[in-house]
Amino acid sequence: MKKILLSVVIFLTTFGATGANALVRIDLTEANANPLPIALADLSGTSEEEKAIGRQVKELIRNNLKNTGLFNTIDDNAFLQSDESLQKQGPVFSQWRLIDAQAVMVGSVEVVDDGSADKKIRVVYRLFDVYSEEQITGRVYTATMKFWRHVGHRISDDIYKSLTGEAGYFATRIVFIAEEPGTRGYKNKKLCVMDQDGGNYQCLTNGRHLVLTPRFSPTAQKVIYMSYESNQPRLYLLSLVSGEQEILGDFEGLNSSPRFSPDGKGVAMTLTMGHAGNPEIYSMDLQTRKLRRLTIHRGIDTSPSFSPDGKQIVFNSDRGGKPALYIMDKDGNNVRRLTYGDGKYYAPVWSPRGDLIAFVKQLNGRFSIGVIDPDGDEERLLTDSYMDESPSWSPNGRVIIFARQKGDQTRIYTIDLTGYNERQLPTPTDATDPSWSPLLQ
Amino acid sequence: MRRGVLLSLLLHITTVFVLWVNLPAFLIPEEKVTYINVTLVSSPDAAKTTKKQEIKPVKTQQSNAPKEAPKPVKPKVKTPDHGTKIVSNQPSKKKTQVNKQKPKSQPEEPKKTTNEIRPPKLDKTPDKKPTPKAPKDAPKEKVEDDFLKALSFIDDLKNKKEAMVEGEATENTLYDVDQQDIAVLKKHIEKNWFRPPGIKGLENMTVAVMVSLNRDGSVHKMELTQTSGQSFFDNSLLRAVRKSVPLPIPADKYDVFKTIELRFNG
Repeated sequence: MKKILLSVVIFLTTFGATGANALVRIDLTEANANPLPIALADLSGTSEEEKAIGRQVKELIRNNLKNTGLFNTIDDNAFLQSDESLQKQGPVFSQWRLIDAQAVMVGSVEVVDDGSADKKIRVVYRLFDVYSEEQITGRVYTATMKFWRHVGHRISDDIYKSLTGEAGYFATRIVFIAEEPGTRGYKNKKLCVMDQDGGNYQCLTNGRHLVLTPRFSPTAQKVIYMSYESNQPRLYLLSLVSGEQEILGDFEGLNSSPRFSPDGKGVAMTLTMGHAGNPEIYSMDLQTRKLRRLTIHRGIDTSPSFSPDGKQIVFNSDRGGKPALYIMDKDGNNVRRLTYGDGKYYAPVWSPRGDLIAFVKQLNGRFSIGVIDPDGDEERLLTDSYMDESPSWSPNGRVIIFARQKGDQTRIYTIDLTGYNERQLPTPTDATDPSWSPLLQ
Repeated sequence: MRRGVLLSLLLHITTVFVLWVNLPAFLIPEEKVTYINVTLVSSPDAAKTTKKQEIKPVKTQQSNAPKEAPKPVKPKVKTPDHGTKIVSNQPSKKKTQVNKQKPKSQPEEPKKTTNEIRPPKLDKTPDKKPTPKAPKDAPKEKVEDDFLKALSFIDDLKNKKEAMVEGEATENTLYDVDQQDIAVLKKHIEKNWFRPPGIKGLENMTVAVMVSLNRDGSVHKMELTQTSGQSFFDNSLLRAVRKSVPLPIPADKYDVFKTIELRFNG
């Protein structure tokens, strides 16, 4: 009897141990924080023209990916597989593994002559996972030849999204104020836009009137900005598609620091009308043009910015004794203080992905761009300089663009939300007040 | 009579237990890796003229191409049935100790050293460092079917078990999972895992991969047992495992390390 029991016990332990227990489990915590190595093979073409376009598009993609700080684009000289072999038989993945690429992009360019005035290009690309040997993403883009940059940006966005899980921000534009030395020591300020990488630079106003604080609509190619065109500080709404401009409302006093709501249908702004020059925050429905006062306080309330769900507004106020950040509901109720740190806080902007609020912090005579979570638990300063200001988020909420004064120059910089990868954007003149567009529609 | 009933009862329990233990393996639904379809947009002008269209994935290796690694076999649902071979006396205890100390290690507060963000200098002599080849030439490990062998294994175990029952054995040394070995493996895989910093909601992401290994440390089979819900994230881990071959498993403890589970709990 005992023996039978024993053997059953043994039987049980033997089989019981198989599926359930005999497994080594490894809990991973860290990861390699280096940029992801990725190879961009030449976009092939039959004619010299096609090859030239292929090279341009590829360099644009390389530049985009490299500038994110998340990708390491492997030098072409390291490639083992030749272009001919690549075209004939597709990527030989073992050779791409040897140079440590995680993904490889291949593709081709074709100039399509369909008889119309504008020549068209047809760009095909595929991105492969070098280890699973499967296609990650692939598309065909057909466009007029002059839009080759746009095609490159779209491909960059595809690649970025498929490897990071977040939407890209390459097919976007930046609106900003360009400053040129003018007469009598004044600066001429113009409203200008350019692609996110500095391409397609153009100015929209002639610089005769002071313009300030342009903000892109998060949903459309529209900009709201402050101008002294009527010799009064007023807010204007400008459509970049039609070029039409309209005044938002002729309110007495200072009209400033506008910001679109996340659906693009409303605006929050600061007005001083009717309360002895004391700035208060208002919101306006762009369709009905109905104005609503949100703050009622003796302190200075300014710089409103909506949360991405549109339910809350973060703003700047000195009601606690010094400029700090506060959050209220979109109807002005439920005000709570967000920042308690030393120094002064200005210019809050809620990230489009909702997890952070960027701001400017002034402490001990230095300025920093910082981020804080909406609960106010963790504040991080990303930059530190003599003068950093005007933060604005990329549409995917990963990168902050801001203006920095350095010596007698003011330039536009970007920094990743992790605090890495600070870069200066190329602008021909001084530039301030950058604001990022949504992905181009 | 009573003896017969008891025996029958015990065998029933045994059968039920075995079924219970092995069943979950069949019940796990096959995880499909989903591809995110990117919605595309364009600039106001470009939008009118730019057309995009999806293209079908191609088979990448043509027949005249040098035959590559037989594709790392796409995992089917069933894990290899190691049946009667692996035994551990106190395995569960060991498992739970694995690296529990820092479950929430987030990317640290970024330090502002610019040289850290630079991509590493590129090595222009590509042939210098042949990375280990994928599972290809590795002798395929056959799942052992030999019934007799399995039986003999039970016999071995029986001897050992009886020794234990008699209160002789103090520690289970045979299949003691060494923390050191696990740490080496962990480090090796983490080094090969490229994960973009600053992922939103990383602290809530969980992903698990079951990997069965060949004796030489190459991957025999790999299966995503828990998806993070984000294909880019799942794929990054699968890439890391494939890049990690051969995995540094101790040669004398193959039976312990033949199936390992890699897990990330954000």
